[in-house]
Amino acid sequence: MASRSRLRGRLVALIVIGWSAVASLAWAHGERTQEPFLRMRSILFYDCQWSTDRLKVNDELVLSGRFRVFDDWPIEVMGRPETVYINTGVPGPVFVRKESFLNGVNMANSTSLTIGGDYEFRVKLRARAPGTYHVHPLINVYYAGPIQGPGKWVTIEPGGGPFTNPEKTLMGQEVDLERFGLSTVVGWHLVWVAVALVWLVWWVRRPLFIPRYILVTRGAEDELVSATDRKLAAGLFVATLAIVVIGNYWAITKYPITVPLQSSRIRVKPLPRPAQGVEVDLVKATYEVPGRTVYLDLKVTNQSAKPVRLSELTTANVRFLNAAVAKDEPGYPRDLIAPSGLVVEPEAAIGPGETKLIHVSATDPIWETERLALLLYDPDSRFGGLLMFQDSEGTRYLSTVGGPILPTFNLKAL
Amino acid sequence: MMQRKAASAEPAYGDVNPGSSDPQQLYRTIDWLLIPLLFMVVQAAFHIHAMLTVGDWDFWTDWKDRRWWLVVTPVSLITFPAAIQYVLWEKFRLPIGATVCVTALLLGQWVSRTLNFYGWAYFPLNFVWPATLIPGAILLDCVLILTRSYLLTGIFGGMLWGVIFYFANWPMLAAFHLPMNHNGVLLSLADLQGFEYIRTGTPEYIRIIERGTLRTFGKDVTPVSAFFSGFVCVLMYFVWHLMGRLLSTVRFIQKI
Amino acid sequence: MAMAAKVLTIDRRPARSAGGINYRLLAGAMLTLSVIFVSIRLYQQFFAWTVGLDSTSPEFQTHWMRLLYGEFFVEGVAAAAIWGWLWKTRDLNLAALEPSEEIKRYLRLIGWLLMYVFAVYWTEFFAEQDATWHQTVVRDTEFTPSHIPLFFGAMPVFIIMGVSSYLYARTRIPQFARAHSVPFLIAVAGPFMMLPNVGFNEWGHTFWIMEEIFSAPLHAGFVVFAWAALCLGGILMQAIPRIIELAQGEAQRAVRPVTG
Repeated sequence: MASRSRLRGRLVALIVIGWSAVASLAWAHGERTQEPFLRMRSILFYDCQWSTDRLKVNDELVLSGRFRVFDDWPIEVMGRPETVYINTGVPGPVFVRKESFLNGVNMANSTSLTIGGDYEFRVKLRARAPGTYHVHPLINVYYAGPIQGPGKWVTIEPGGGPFTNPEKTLMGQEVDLERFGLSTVVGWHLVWVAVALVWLVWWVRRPLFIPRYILVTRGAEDELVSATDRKLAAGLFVATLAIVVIGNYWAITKYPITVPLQSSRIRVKPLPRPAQGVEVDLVKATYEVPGRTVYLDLKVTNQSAKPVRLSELTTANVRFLNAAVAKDEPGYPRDLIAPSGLVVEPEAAIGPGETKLIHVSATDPIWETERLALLLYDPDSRFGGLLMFQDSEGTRYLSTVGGPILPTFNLKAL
Repeated sequence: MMQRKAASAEPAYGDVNPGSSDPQQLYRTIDWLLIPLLFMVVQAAFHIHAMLTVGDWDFWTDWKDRRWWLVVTPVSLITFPAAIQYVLWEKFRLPIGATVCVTALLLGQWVSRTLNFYGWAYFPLNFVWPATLIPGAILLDCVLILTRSYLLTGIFGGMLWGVIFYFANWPMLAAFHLPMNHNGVLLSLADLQGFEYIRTGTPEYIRIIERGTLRTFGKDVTPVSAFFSGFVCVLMYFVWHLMGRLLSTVRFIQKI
Repeated sequence: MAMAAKVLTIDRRPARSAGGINYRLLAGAMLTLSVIFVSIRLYQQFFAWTVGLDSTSPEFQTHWMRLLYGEFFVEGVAAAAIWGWLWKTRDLNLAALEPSEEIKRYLRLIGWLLMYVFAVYWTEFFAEQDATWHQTVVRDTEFTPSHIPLFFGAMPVFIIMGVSSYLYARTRIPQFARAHSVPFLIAVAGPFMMLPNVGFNEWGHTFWIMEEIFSAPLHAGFVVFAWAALCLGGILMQAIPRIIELAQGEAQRAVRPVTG
């Protein structure tokens, strides 16, 4: 008795240890194994925010931000983004998603995106399982796969009570989505398993294989199936049909109003673009391998009413800030931001109506740690990114930039 | 003296089955070895077949629709029952082929959903429960023993197998089709489960489900799909009856 | 006084189950496999969601790639050892095989087949688990916490067991030594082919279909090769008539009439 309870205690301890090991750090996902040209030239996330990075079970986290669908979307590889789903990158249902909106439209189903469009997303999550997780916005694109946004570590602490997921049906019935309907499922399964066992045990209890085989080969197979066997079969046949009929009657009575699975597509328009922004043409792009720097020569035309300066380059979720113009954001994942990684020459602002050639360098080991330098080994060595220009009042103008990029392997070659 | 110890210079059957000259003991031993052997091989092979042909519909409640699930599941899963029915009935007059298959399958599915889907990935069990095929299997086996005819089993049993599937599972599924108001959008409870319990690798659009009802029949989609399912099951039964004959070949060859 | 001929036990010992199989060895082998696979399952519980999501992280290399290399090593050694032993200890004089020994060998063949299907059972367990992983997370590389135990763990183990059971039959049972059993060949080669099919699977997922719906045509190869396991029925249909022949022959030899 004592040894049994000790064993039980050890088993419980093992389960607790196991679960707490699960409820610990969960590393980033497989985003870095996606080809760089896909990450840079598909969905460009920006303004991403996580309302908190530490919460308890049952607390809420809001993930919000925007993304631009890259103008030069690689149609030949990814098709068009005509079927997409606004998803969330987490390691399983450690959060439950309570809301998902795109430009204010409920994203319960899938939608389509306009190439070149801007969209604002807002996802509300509720903490379910303790642990530390990498939480990303994510968009599944049919035929192309998942395009992940930037990820931030979020810790769900134990406490906050056991997780519950209350919801209400249209008729006002309150249900807990975690467990509703399970007892009915298990109950009916047990009923059918009992019927099956009756049938199986009836036959298995007798000599089974070789004795029967001998009689069959002798031509005496009729001895193997008795009148009782056939009566049982007939009875089970009728009973099965009866149980199905009764079961359906019970279900229809208990749940008179049901709806089929909802599979419609939702249409959402992109955000309006300012009538006059900043136009950018790429003149030349190089990636200097040893120095981990991307050099861009850009022809910039300022069509706005005020002078603007380049404040940021963002691509594949990494951000290079021009420290002279943009402030660092401490809340943004530190492994994805180079607060002073962007240098612009000449530094002076571009006046309204002016066209200027600027030389931009984006320097940081991020190019390698995020495996974007592997662009050189892609079958498509074209990069893409989002440039942000800012005027003195903080108004922002977004322009995409992209095109061929050449590697250089020594500084003197520039 | 009533008995004397038999003298024998030959190696006795007793070497195999010490103390018994009755082959029935050997046969019963073989029974007890073959029962787990056949149960496990049917479970493993049938489960692999099932998970890779109809798995997605069976894994998630928000795939269990009225157009695809109730057609593909019976059609794909009448395969092994038809083949095993042939082997067990033809060689042993055992009318349990279909029931063995689906019971073995169900055991594998519940173990997986509990230990993996719930125990590992932490999806609630009410989201990932498997469907039951036992009613159709009982009917298929009973038709075989009552008619003693593969032709009649294929036609009537196969039809019943296909038709009854949705209705046998509806008592379990009905609760998951309660209507919900999700921020102004109508969803079924199953849809809401799919929305809330995040699956990064399974976007909503990837569901192969009804996306617009059958034109002629208004809301009476289910009986139409069920009878279509039954029809295809009849054909599938005969194809896999032949597979059963083929795969239980007893040929030997000299060179490979 | 003459008595009616009566079937008696030869040495008056109570009948017990057939001694052909070493049940302890069989149970021990199945237990060993169970311990291995349960341990792997527990390993997944501890390390999959924590360090198994990002193949570019050093922790992934430590915790998962080492497991993979360990599997290769152990499987290679096991295959060489088991197959080598089976071949080395083969019966070189099958013509002189006693009927009672032949019956024992059929029972042991069933034991080997039990090990084979037990390993296939574990493959099925990890196979549906693969859906759990890949339908939940973003696809990374081919080596994931679900693929490593499945494609490079359970599958090689069942291949080793399948080939072992075929080798056992070929080297110890006259019926299978005289010629190649077609159902046996299919039952072993078919599921074996699932492993090369992994290459096709990964190629397809890289270039065609990014999402992991299990019901995609891409996975059809695994389905077809799983059907091959049905050939176990054919193996039994070959073995059973011979077992009956042997058993009835032995029974006739063993019966001694009792006289008073």
